[in-house]
Amino acid sequence: MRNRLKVLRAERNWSQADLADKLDVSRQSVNAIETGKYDPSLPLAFKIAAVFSLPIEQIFSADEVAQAAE
Amino acid sequence: MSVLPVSQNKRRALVRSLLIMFGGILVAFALAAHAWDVEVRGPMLAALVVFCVLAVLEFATFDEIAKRAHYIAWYWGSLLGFICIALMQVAFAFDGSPFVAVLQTLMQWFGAADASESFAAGMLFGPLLMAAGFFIVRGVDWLRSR
Repeated sequence: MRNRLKVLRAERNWSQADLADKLDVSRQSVNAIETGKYDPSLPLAFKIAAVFSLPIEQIFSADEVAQAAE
Repeated sequence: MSVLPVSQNKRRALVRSLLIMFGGILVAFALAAHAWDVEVRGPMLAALVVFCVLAVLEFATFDEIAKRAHYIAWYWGSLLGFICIALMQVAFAFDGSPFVAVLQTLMQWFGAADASESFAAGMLFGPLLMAAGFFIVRGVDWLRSR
């Protein structure tokens, strides 16, 4: 799974700690999601989408889909 | 109105601080009992109960990623502990094994134990190895995720 979390966060000038507070998770967890070490559950993915006010598919994409788009 | 912080991260930090504090109190009681031979069983048991309740509360404040890391560490860490116990059992079972000499040295240090003492020692040693495995796996995971 790929995600645009780092880019979206940078666009809003949020630190990992800012995003962690908005999502009620730890900063290490935000880092784990950003670096692709952990794929969030559906509830957390929906929460992330709500925080960025974007549909989930604009934040997360399957590896094959992302490779095909490239 | 709740006295606990609204933010999950602040709540987690508060519970963790209390957990460390009570962990310190437990160690202090154990050291005091050892150094000055004072009777602390009652207060120590009370502190242990509070520590256990706080540990459960801390787990409840974990996010899904921290919970998953704990599940993985308990699985692989305790498995590692089990494997160590099994290997030691096998090693001690063979006559002439170098481990038998280690066992004999330990028996000289601590004195020969009867069946109930051996059982109690096994009950303590097994979970100790599993907990050690947990901390090793959790530590490696923590270092990798920094």
